[in-house]
Amino acid sequence: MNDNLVGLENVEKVFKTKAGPFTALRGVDLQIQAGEFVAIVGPSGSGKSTLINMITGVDRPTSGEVHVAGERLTGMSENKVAKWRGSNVGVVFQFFQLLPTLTVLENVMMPMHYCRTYKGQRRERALEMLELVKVPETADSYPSQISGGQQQRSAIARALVNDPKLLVGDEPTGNLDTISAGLVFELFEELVRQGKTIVMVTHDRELASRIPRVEEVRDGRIVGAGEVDARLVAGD
Amino acid sequence: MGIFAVFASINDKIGGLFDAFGYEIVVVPNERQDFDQVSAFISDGVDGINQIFPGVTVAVELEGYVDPDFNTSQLQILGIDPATDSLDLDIKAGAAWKEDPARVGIVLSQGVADQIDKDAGDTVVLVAQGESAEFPIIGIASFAADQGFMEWQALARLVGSTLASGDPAPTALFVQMAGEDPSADEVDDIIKEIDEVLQSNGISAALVNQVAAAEEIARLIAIFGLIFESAAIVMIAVGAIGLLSTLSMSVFERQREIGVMRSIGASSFTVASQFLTEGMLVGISAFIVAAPLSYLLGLGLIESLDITIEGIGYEPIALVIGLIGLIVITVLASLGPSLGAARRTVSSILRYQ
Repeated sequence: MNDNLVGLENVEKVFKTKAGPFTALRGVDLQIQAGEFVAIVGPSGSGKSTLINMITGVDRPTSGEVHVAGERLTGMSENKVAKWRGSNVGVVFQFFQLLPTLTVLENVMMPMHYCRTYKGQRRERALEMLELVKVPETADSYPSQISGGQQQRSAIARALVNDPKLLVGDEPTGNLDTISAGLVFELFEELVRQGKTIVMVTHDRELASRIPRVEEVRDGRIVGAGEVDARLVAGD
Repeated sequence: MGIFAVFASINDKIGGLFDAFGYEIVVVPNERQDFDQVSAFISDGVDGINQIFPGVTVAVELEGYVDPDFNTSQLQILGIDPATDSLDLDIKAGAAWKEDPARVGIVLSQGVADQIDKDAGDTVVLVAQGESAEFPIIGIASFAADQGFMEWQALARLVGSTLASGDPAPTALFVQMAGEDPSADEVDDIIKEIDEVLQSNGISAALVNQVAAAEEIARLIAIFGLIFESAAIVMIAVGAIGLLSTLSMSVFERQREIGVMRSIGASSFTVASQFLTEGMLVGISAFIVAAPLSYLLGLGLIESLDITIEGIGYEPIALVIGLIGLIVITVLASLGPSLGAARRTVSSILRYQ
């Protein structure tokens, strides 16, 4: 477990719904080493997002253990997890989730404010990240003034700004056109080459086929690893 | 805020007006009496009296003056013995009787001096019994009502209040009770005793309980104040509920933003403080708008109440109290939505979305 950046051990997650309990994850075991690039694939409702939420600490398991970046998330308070997440995990959403009232640069600077990192160098650090994701020209623009691809790159810059050990994307290319999706994916590949660990959920068959490790989730279980099953990433 | 400011001012000025008097009972004999004789009757016959001062209470024509309430040139003038502590005036200009209690002249309240455009050192003409007399203004006093003050014997001679011997006769006796701050009931008891003593000596007189008069005025002001302040409190409550609703809606509409903040490291404190700050900004913006409006409202209130007491106005301290009150109310109204926002978890927001 200690050698793994991510370690899930017999994780079960049950949601209480009006229709009765719904089991989203059933005894999931998953280990991810530092520097890996992992795709989580599976049909809609299979538990992919719940699995990602376990890794980011957004959700807690009903039973089982979750260790990420050396921390046991299972017993941590929501507040402590939020602070931990800000420093250790970069989250990239399908719909970018940049705050519309802030400029791109301000959006990228936010995690540093929240985690009190890079004091006195936040602007330079944010610009450096925008350079890294190749959208420095968007710094003073508002999210509504730039393209979807640029917004997602800016969101990746925001996710990277605190130099997290792990980058997690929940269908980060799902809302982009093919060209933009390709550019974002190339950026992920570049980040992995630089040593980052990336876990992403994807429905894109072509992109998933380029990811070295693919974990398939079905009915709340990881049912297989390795080759990409076209049926699982066929999209909805 | 304007309402509080005006009523604070009225309470302050009225309180100050009665505080100036060093006596609790005014005795006004129906006929001219020798002061020493009447004073001896009261002192010998009634316990609980500290001092008795001679006094004159009359209205005299002052050239150039117009009473704002009655539109006449009659000014109320109080004749006192400056050598005693019957009256504690707050002198703003001139020396009054500070160095010479026998000094001849008149002290005017600030409002009268302003109206006739005179200052200490100038002279005024008083008209009584068809004759004019010029008096130097020896002092300007801060006093809530339009009023003049003179040495009682000079005033008695001016208005012709003299005994058969030609000596000046007071029109009133001011009775100072022993003991600090007697109640209206205690003063009433003494008044009854004084009345009995005077009647037993064949003297009829009107007796005024100054403490009861002050309490009655304070009660009336309090009733008016309560009515206006109740209305103001309802408005404050409506404002607070409005802010509470606005912030609650804001939290509801910005769940996505809260989720993003939490997912990139914002603590509960950060989220709560953001909404608290927004609530404070709304409150302070409201204060910036309300402050000048409250000033105008205060002036309108003074105008509508037709108060001619000098010094009644908008008390600036009300702005400070208003700001503090607004901060407290804003914090209380913002606290619920802010803590609600801080309690939202990313997973609950994601599930809702």
